[in-house]
Amino acid sequence: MSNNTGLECPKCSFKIKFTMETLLAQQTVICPNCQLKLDMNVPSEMKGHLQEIVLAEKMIKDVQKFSK
Amino acid sequence: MNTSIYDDAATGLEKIFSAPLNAVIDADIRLANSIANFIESYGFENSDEGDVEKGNIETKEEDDAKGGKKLGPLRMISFTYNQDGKKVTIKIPALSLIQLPLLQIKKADFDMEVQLFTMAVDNQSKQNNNTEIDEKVPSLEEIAKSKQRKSKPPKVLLRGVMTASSSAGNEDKLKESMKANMKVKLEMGASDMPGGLINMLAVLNDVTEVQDQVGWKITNSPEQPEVVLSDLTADREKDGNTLYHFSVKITASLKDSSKTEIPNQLIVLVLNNQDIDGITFNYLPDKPYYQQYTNAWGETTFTVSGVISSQQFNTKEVRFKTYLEKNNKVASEGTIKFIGELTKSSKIN
Repeated sequence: MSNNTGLECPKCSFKIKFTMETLLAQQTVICPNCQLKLDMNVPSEMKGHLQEIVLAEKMIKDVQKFSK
Repeated sequence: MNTSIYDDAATGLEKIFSAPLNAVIDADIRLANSIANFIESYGFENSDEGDVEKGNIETKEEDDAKGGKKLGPLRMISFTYNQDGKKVTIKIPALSLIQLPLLQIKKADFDMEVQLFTMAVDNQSKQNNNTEIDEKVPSLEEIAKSKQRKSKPPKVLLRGVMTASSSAGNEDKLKESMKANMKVKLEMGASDMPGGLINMLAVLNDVTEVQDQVGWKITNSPEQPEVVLSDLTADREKDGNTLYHFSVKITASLKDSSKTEIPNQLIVLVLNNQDIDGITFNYLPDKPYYQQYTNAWGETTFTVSGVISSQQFNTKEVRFKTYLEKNNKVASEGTIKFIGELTKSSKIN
């Protein structure tokens, strides 16, 4: 699957990658290439959806370890 | 005929094999629906909110009848950073920020052990009843005997029951009648990300908004700068052709929605029709355009210059565009007009 997601750094055009945990827990991101600091504002209702997905993914990982 | 008590529980093999496959396909469809719901709720603002206010609540069937539910505006995540002492806010669609949790069944292995019963039904009885297997099904011996008699053998159907796994530890414990005589392994594959989703992500990447640039405007002065050809003096002769140097000044002014001048912004001036017979523009070295920063008053003055070759020149106007380098939607267009006729001057340097 192609993965072209992320934010293009406005200063150096580096593609900053995000995880759901980043969006949930962090308030700032720093460009790994040019160290530009960006304050992030994620709407609270979106955090609710992200929380559900993070939990679901955790459950899937737990199930993958399951063996009869 | 085999008279085991399992005969009654025996199922057609096709049903044994297709049931888990159908279950997997069913699960995959449910997953796809879940992903669609996620994209709708996570990526778009609730479109129903507006409808609730208007009292227009439609059922899912009504939505489907109209070609699907209307999606609200894209949910955006905003980022703020400091640029030259000024806060700049950019907004990016939430969907384009993270990899979508596209759960899909990539591979499903079914390892099942089946005790196989060979059953058969004669063609005549099947014609009478297409769904039920004749109760008087012959055994393998009877089929063999019918072959010896050269009579038409009855159609053979395979039926079986799933049995307990005969792994090393419990094989001895299994009764003979329960032992599997067939091991089946089925595999299912799945495709990659749907093309539609790939296209949607590509589109989303293009809708990033730079919030602080909303309302910014470039104004060119003059909008239609003129080059009076009769005022040009012949610069030099080359291969019997007279060359005229020309120059015109265009000032681009950048302001925000409150008419405040915006300094230190890179403005690009590009000519729409660059390859014009008879004109060679003096662009920046190695660049087919001009670019300069706005000064403290939000202005920058470009000097568009070049050389006109009299033999080939027959141009009346050249369109140009000025735009903000970091957001080409903040732009303005104009036209350089060439008026009058070239006149050969005696003053050739």
